[in-house]
Amino acid sequence: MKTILLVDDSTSIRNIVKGSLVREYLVLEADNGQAALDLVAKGTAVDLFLLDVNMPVMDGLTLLKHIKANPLFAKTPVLMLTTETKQERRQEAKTLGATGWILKPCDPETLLAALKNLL
Amino acid sequence: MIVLLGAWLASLGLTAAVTVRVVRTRRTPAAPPVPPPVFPPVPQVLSPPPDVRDEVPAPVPPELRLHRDLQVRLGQSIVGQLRSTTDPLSANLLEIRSDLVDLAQKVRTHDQISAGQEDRDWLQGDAAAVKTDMAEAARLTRETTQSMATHIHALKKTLRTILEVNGEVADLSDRINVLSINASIEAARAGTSGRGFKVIASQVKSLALETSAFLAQVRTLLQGAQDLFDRVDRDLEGKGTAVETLLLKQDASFISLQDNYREQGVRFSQLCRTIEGFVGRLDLQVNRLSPLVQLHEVTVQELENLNQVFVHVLDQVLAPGDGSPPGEAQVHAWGTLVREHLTTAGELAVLDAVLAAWGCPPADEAPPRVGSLELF
Repeated sequence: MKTILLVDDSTSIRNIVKGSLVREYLVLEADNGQAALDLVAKGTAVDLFLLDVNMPVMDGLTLLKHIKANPLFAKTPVLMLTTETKQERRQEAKTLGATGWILKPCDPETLLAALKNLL
Repeated sequence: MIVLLGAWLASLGLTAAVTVRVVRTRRTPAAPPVPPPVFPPVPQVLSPPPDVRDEVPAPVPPELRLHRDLQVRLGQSIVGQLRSTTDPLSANLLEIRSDLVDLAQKVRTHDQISAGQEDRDWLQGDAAAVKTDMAEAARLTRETTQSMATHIHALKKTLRTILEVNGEVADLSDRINVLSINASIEAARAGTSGRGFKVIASQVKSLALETSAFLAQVRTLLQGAQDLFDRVDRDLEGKGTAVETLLLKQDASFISLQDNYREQGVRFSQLCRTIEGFVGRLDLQVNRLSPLVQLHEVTVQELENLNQVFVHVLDQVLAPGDGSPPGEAQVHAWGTLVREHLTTAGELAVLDAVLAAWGCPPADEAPPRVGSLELF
């Protein structure tokens, strides 16, 4: 079973997204970018990252930068799952190496289809 | 955003004190003193940006300060209440989905075990061997019964032959007896010279009588043996038939057991599929709630953002000015400041509409569709 690291400061969003994925994937959680970095620093294997953009402590774009700088995860797909609609943020994520951008609220089937396509 | 609010509220405490002093100076000396407004402490996470803190003026109209403070606190209260419903709801949905996944997995496992190779092997292997052994036992029983019946028939035939011989010997004995009587008569007729012959005739007669008695005894024994063989023969035939019937019945029972087992397996599998279907439909229904709960959470975040926007706007209003309406540059600057707090397409569209009404051109980019997925 593939592992997905879901990073979002909203407990509700984490619960709902995890609920949609739990049938087919092992879902790990972190409530901000720094917590996610701490998790992968322990050697946790991750097959795909699912990141919110606006988060306290460390936002999703900064986390994306760290992920892509890590040789272990440089090629790991990263999907941004956010309410953020500003074009410049999306462009920044693309430049930093994000794989895709999904706007919340999203249909679980759309998300699952994207994950199946990437994993 | 919460950081900024916290910091501003901290600064509000100082401002509120200033406001109170202003109010007191406006009242008559006879009027009772107005107590300063008491607000619950709001935790301060980080310091606000210096430029924002510096822009908060003092003194300012007290009703605007009150309005600002109410906006902050009521907004936080509403957001808190909404979030206190979303979090448990999403946790319950996660629990339900996890349980459904668990249940579906268990049902699938039991179904696989039920229709598993081991059971089919048992039916086709050990159980089939039992069936073969039973058939072999039936065959051996049948052969043994037939063999014994053949031997008994042969013995009965031999007995009949012996009885026939016995009858012939009895007949011979009778004739010897008659002959001895005739010899006795002839000996008597011969007188003294036939006396010796009379003795022999008497002994022959005695021998003939003893032989008849012996033959009668043998015949009785032979007839008893014949009756015994007849009973054994009938018993053997009856037992053989009973054993064969029993084995055939067991064979039928085994076939019935096999059929029953298969039928139970089919029914169990159907039940499993029904449960799986139900779980799948339930899972789908629960899944359909996912966007709604997400929307609820996004709406809460929007409210939180809007609350911060209102506070920003009020801060701008509270800033000192010359009383003239804001120019396009000022409105644009406010718009930029507010835009920083907004994320969703709906909020940004409203902002653009407001800015357009104030003479500022809307943003160039078209807002993306909610729920859309863009792969880079």
